[in-house]
Amino acid sequence: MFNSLRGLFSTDLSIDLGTANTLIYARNQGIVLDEPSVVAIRQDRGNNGAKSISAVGAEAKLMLGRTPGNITAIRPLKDGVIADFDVTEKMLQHFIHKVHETKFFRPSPRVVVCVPCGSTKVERRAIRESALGAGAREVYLIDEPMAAAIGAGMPVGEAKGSMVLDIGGGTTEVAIISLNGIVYSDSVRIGGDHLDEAIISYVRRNYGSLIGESTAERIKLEIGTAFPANEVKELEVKGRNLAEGIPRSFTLNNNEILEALQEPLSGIVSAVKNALEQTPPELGADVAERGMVLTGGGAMLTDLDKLLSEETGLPVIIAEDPLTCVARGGGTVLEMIDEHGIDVFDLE
Amino acid sequence: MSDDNNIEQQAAFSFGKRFSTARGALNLSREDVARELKLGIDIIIALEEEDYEHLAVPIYVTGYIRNYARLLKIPVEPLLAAYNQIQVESPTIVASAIRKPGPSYSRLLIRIASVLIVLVLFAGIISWFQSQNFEPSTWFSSQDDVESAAPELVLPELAEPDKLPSITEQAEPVPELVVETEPKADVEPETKPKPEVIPEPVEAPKNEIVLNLSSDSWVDIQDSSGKRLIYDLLRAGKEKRVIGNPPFKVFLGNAKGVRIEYNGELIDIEKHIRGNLARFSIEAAGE
Repeated sequence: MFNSLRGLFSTDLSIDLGTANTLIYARNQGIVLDEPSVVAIRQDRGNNGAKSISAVGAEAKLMLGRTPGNITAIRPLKDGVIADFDVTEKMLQHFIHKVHETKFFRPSPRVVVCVPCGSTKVERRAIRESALGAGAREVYLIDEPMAAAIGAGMPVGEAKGSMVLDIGGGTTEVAIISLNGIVYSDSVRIGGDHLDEAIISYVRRNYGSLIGESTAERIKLEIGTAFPANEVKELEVKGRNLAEGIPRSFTLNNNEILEALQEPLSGIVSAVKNALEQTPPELGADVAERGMVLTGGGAMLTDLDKLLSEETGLPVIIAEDPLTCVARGGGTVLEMIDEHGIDVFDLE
Repeated sequence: MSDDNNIEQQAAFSFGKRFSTARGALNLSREDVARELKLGIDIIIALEEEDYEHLAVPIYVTGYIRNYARLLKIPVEPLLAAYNQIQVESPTIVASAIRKPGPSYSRLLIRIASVLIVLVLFAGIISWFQSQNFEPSTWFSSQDDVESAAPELVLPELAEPDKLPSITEQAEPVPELVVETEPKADVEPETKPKPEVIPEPVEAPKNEIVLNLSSDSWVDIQDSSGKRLIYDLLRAGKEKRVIGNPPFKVFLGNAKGVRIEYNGELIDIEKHIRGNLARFSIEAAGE
């Protein structure tokens, strides 16, 4: 009773609990939080020293790879699912409070959490428990590709096939949607993180130097490409030379990064081709006519749409503001639940 | 001003004509474009002729415009601005086969009822706080009320006698009761000078403690009956006066920031200070 009373003073939220970033969409307000899914934990001295949260989000991300012995900066989600339950709960709690910081009452919102469609029941239960532990009153889980399609503005309620490809930090989700339901979906554990890892191993292999995750991400964002380009872009990078053991700088270009990304990109292309193979012919024809829509941070990789278009022969469209599609879609679902009831979408 | 002109120009801008002109400049046919963009030729024709009935929902059209502009190497923003000027039907999110008739108002009702309950609770809490007389100022005012109430009872006799008959005439059925109650309201302005006539309690209050704060401090003062005269965090720069029956029990949270006087005499609290706290009592004759 008291929980529901507190709920009246809380804003319903849609949470895109991503491997790389967590986004929160508040009803009638839009995206209110966009922070990296990173938590810095401080351990007091002694063997059994108490652990406490030192920083969360952007502040904690700055600490990644730069922490002293008593502080650990970790990413509590891996491959789209929870790797550290307690830390995820604390992180969610922090984010929910941050969104409600002006409120007098302790928040108890209704929450829609977007989960990878390939996640197991155990992984889904962990996400639900984590959100409940963080103070949510009711938790609904929705498949990420469905949320992404709604957030992108696709006509998911039509009796026509709509194909969406959501490339997140830890997973890539592909789905064919029609009449508010997922006809086919698949999730591959390839995402932005794997692209970063591919760059790290390429640099180690070809330059004998070690670079960190943050540097690899910067390389991907600045000169990363998925399709051969006429224009050559270069970037100077500093890394620790493995032979000499001292930092050295070297220059990378976009064609080298294209070579580095070949393996994860071919994994994504295979997932898309596999989805098209499995799609019923009527829906496949709809997709061939209108094209597929790219969402998620991975969609911002230069010329990824060109690569997919060349490989599949379909038109490929990048959604407007692809990073926030999933969270915005979850927010729309919350509004639809109130209007049409919970059965409209396949929520858990 | 120039920005407004730009927006107007963009609004009047035909993205379809812009596409066909740019395509012609590059010597590309519609078929070439359809092949490059992997789109049906009917979509290319619909784009160039701005035939919205044959175009899909905005997410797809926006994407086609972007891809087409990239192919023709022309800036995409004016084209999108021109397209966004047109009100296009929003996509179907909920299928009509699934949609249920009639929205539910139960949540709205619950919300209104709960807000009312909270308001009632809030009003109750406020009235309870007021009844507790936490503030010495309210305690004073109640004392004043008692003192000023007594002269008022005498007022009907002191009041101008010519007013009384008119009032009693108006209320004939119960004349005695009216004489006691009605004049109070009528003669009220004349009671205002009264505090000047009886100024003693204000000028020389007995058993009065005066607190002057140079920094924030928690203050707890109880009189002999155990009644809390102050139980509050007082802010720096504030002066607080309380009256009660001695002996008083005094507790100061930040004693170094408090100057305390009893009946006009400064009390030395230095010897009672432990750390930052001070706990002592004030007897009838002083400390």
